[in-house]
Amino acid sequence: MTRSAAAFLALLCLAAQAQAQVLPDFAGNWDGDGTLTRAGEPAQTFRCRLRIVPLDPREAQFVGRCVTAQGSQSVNYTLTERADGTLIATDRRPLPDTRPTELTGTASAGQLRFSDEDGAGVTLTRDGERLQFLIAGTDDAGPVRGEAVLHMRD
Amino acid sequence: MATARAAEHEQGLTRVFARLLARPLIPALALVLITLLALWQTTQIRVAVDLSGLIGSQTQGAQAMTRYSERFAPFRAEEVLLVRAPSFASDAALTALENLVLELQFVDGVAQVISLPGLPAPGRTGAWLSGPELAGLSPAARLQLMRAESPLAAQILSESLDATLISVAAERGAAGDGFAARVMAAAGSVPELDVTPVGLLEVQRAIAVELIHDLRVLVPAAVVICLLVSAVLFRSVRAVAVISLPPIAGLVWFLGFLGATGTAIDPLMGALPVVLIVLAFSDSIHVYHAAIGALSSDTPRAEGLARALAQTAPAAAFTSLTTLIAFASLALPDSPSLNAMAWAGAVGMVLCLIAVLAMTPVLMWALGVPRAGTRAPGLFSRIVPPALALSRHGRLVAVLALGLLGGVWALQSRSEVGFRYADYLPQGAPVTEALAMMDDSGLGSDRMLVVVEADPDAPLDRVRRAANAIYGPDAAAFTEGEAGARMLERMSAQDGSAHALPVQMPIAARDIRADEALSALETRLAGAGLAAETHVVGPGYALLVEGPRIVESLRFGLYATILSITLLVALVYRSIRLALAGLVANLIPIMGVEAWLVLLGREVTIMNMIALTVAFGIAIDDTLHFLNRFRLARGDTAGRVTQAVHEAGPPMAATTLILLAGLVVTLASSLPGLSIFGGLIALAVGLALLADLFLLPGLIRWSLK
Repeated sequence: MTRSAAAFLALLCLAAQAQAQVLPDFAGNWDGDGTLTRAGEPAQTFRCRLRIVPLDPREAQFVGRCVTAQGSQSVNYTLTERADGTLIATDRRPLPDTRPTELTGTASAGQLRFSDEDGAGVTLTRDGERLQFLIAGTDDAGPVRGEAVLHMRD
Repeated sequence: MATARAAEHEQGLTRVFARLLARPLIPALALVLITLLALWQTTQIRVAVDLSGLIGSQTQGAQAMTRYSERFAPFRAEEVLLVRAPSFASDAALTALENLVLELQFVDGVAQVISLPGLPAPGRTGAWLSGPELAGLSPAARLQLMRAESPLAAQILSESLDATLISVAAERGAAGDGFAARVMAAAGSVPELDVTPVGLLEVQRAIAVELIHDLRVLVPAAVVICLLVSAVLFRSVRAVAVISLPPIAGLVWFLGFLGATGTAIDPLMGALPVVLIVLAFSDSIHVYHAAIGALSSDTPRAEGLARALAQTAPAAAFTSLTTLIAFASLALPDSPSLNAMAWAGAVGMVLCLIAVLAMTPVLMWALGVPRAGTRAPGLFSRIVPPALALSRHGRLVAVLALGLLGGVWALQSRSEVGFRYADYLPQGAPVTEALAMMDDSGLGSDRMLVVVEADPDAPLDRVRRAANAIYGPDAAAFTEGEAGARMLERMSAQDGSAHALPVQMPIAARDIRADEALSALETRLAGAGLAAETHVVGPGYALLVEGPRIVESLRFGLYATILSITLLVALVYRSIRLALAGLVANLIPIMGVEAWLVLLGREVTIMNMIALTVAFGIAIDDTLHFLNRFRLARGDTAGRVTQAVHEAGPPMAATTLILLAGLVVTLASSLPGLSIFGGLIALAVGLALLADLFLLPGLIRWSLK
């Protein structure tokens, strides 16, 4: 192996390690307000409290709940970041008689994004001390989109 | 023949007690050990209040709830919050209210929050209060419009706009004290609003707090009062020890039994320890009194005591048996709470009787009392002459007794049955105050559902008429048109065969019949021609409709108790006439109490009927002690009656004083049900003494003439 080839491989390793650093950047307790918009409905207040706990450099637990005056939605995912930047989110909410569903996406500097095959999913964007949270999906009436700007709590 | 057999029994019992008095050490150690074990088990006692435990799973009310759960959705345990502000007609107050609702949504285990900010707007599913329809209006105008156009809003927001209700439903398995504490912690994060928990769950928690307080205070108070009365009567520390230690041990055994078996104390059972201790004191005094009488002769002390115990033990056992039968009759209704009380009461009676009969001889041996020459308390000997004087006019007494019986019977037949929340609500508790305030402002905290069966030909016709009847004509906008249809769709059964309209009913904190509002609702539904097509469901509804049915079942149990005890008396004393004389003397106090309720304008409730049943079992005790003395007496009827009055009269009065003094402590309970329970039993026992002293002797002389 030539010296330049070895240097290239070392660079690749460094790049892979750099990818693995993304998840810990999101660690913390986050909360804040935003809006939830449903098809044919005006926006209403949307409040989220989320927690991202690193399990190891490549894994983190992403739990929390978002609420409106009318209801709430909990999230509980195990996030796994692969060396190639792929993000796997395994839904850990207890659903009887079903296997945990997996969503896929990407982990890049300052942003985590994962969704299912219908496009419903979550995007987390770190912006300094703020975390922009976006959750999108559909309900019986059509598309639903919740956005909130979260701040580190502790 | 019968007399010979009775004598044989008495001789056998005399031998048992003589042996106990001769070798008391090992029995004494065993009794101490059992008492210590029971004392240890009392640490396991728990208090559990579940008013729905009054209703058995097979009752109509419970079955209706099961059917509702299958057709619509399962009933969830709900924490209901009364939220107050100086006025919600301000942006700041409405923001605080929305904040509160959002905080409640974050509570672990919450399944649903029903609140004013969460109410959907007409024609769409999103929130109305923060929606565009009301955006241009002032806060006061927004709230008034919501109240005017939505019956749901009108039910959870007071007309004065300063109080609103929030209902927080728990996920399956999440309800409980922890959930309630988390809900209140979340409420505490919005200090601008005053939040008070109301609703059935909070009522139950408040009752539990009071029950624990009562058990800690009233039971010791009853013991102290019984001790004081015993001291006044017998004027000897040793005598008081002999009389009081067996009942106290019996109570400890009973409480140990509750702890060991995990039987929780509930509101119905709250007065049971007091009842047991005073009854055991009563038995103990009868035994001690008999011992004094036996030692006044020249026989050796041990022999005299053994004979006195043998003569009194059957009567004590018999009186316990009658009370046990009364408790057992509580097993008749389909009601887990009553059935538990039946079981616990019966076991408690047996344990207290065993404690009195087993410990008294041992204590008499250990403390050396009573001694020969001890004089019986003279306090009540003055009642003997008037009782004897009246007994000589048998015919007059019979006419008087039958007249009294007819009078109380006539009054009693006018009694009505009912259910009152006020029987269970702790007086002065914050929840009671809050419920009273809600009553005044027209807010109901008990969510019921009116199920309206759909007409397949016109699926929304009946539910619209029902909504009109329930909520008033202003509700038309709520149910009519496309928007109304969509609103009603959310209230539809899974198969569309019915709708369930929510209605907030009051948990009536004032001392009124709980079903007044419900009756008014059912009348309105009947007026709309929907009596057959609608029915109300809900935990509170089950209590209201099953309560009277339980009372009827208890009444049947009381009659069965009266009949069986009368037959038992006839069997034991081998005389139908004696049994009938005893029956008349005991029906008068029981029906007298019911007549008293009629005169007060109060209906017969579950607590009242339990009190009457237990009171009958207790009231007949004096009769049995009198008949026991009459049985043991020799000579003609008049002479035997005279002897029985002399021997049984004073201890009957003394034990009644103990019962009254002990039971009077229940009047200090802040739980009206307990006070009523103790008070009615005390009244019945007082009347029973009068009947036994002044009617029974004359009736016996007249009937056996």
